[in-house]
Amino acid sequence: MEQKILTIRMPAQDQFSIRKNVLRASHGKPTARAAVVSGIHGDELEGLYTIYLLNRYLQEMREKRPEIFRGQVDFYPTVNSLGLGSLNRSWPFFNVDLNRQFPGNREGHVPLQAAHALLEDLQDADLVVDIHASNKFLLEMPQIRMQEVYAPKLLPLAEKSNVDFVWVHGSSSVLETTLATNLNETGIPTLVVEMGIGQRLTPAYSDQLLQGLLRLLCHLEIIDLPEEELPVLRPPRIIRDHEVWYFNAEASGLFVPEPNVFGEWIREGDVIGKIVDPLKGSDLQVIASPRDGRLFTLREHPVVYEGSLLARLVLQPADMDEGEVARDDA
Amino acid sequence: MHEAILELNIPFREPMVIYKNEFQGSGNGPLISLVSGMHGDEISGMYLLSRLAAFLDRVERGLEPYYTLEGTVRLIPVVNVPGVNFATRNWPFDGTDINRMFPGYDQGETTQRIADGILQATVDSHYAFDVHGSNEQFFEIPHLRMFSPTEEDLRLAPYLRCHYLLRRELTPLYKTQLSYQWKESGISPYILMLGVARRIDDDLVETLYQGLIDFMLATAVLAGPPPAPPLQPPTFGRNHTHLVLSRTAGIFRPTVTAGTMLRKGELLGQIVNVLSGQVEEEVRAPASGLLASIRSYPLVYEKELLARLFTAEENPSGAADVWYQEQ
Repeated sequence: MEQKILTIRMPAQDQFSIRKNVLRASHGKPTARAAVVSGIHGDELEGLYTIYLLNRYLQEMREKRPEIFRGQVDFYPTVNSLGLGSLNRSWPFFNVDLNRQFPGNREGHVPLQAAHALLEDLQDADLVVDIHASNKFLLEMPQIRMQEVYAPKLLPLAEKSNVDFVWVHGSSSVLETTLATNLNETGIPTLVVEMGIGQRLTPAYSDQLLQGLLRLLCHLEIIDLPEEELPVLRPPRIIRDHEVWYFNAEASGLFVPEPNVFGEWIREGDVIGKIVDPLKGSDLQVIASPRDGRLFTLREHPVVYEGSLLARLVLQPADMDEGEVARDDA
Repeated sequence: MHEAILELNIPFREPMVIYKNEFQGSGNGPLISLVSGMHGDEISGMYLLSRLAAFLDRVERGLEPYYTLEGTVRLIPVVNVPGVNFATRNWPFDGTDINRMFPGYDQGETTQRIADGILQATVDSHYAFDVHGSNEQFFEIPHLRMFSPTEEDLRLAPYLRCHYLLRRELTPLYKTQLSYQWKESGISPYILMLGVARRIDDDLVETLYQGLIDFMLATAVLAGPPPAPPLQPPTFGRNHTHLVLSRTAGIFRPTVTAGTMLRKGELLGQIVNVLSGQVEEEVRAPASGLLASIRSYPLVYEKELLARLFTAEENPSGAADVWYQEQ
């Protein structure tokens, strides 16, 4: 059932809405309500495709095996529809980042109202998944990011999500204005997925996350798949801030990564790429890794300034003992 | 004295340099820093600092016989160098708002490095000004914004000749701004807000130019003829704010100018339907008070901010602290 949570008239005889699609069990009171959100940033499309996959899967299930679909799932795939339709990360016209407007305000200007409307609409959800896709610069392996304060509640959920990593990080004041923080702060568990890259699709990642979302819906008893039909998942590696190594550019120029480094284990001394000067025909920086680890973030946009993020490495646990290995494979 | 405070290599061309222009006096007066051009389209602030530079240069060369420089004035007129050159508000490459990157980090992303450079270059100041314009959509009469001002701040504020002083509440957003980091470092921050982006309003700049010279006299940065007797500006906060929101979308034509006192119910402007040409809304003042800002960009969405009005009495409905967050 399609619904609009906010409609605003625009000056040129036009209007826009924030739209959602609600899938409910055909019979009885829904067991629980989950919501999947994407497109808060207009340049992030991976979540739209993931929602398409889950939406189609659940609609088919509801039709063919209605007894299995017992809860409610709400999809909000294209929150910043104006940005999505105009290649804008921000909210056009106002030029603001919608994910810095929360909790929003009923009386504020349009992006604040949009934030307020979305937050209100998610108030009685039992789980929210907000899917982001990095930005147009960086390619990310599927991961969930959470602030440490919410980890006790979120980690058990994140571990069922079929992502490669869960990054438990410290707080920052910027995050106080995001959707996820505002929901988690009011006790609504909200997972932030980061995967793929802006302005593109990485369908394999959407397929991977779909399996995790089905697991989560089973966990919430929204769907009641028999155990043998449930996807088998690999638990994610849990990362803390001190286990992440950042490569920031030391030169300004054109960044050319080595082929086949993304997602791979890198050894100390391995070259991951270089920054070149086309005018002089010279290398400005050859980037060798100072540590062992897995390259889970890689820059795809080649133009770099001094300081631009080139890659991130999750370090190999120095003291990987029996216990940690066991947890990795559990 | 022109000196680079930060040099950054730019891909495919010459390095970018952020300069300071520093005037050191003969005495032991305090150090005052003024920063503008953090947003590349806020030109009035840059022009204000360039006027001050010309004045201080004349003082140094003895061409302003009544004035001597006792302290130090540090001017950083342009922070977002490519933004100014390309006429864009934010850092042109990735759209970052530099005034959301503080305190910055010298080993981090490019704009974090810039933020760190600016903070480090001003952190030894006694007084620090961050000069902004409004964005393109709003015209603001000159005012001073402060977080939890001290008594000394309030004593000095009137010299600036601003129309009013706005007490901002501290929200998470402000922690990433330069002025908040100054406050954290024990410096009194003064945020000057004037005019509208992308143009210079000579009258506003002239008023603040005189105001800053008076401020420097009052703080003994400058010695000279006594400043004009200060007029205490009204102080407003969230509870004095009335927001005027549109009830329809279309073309907004204001019928009043910012800075005037309005009576409740007085006409502010009209919203015209683009297709029919009919007046769809007559916009009226929600209360009697000072019209502090009014929309300059004529196209409006429904439920969009058209004007901001301050009343002496507190607004019982307790208007939210709603601003364009990029300001």
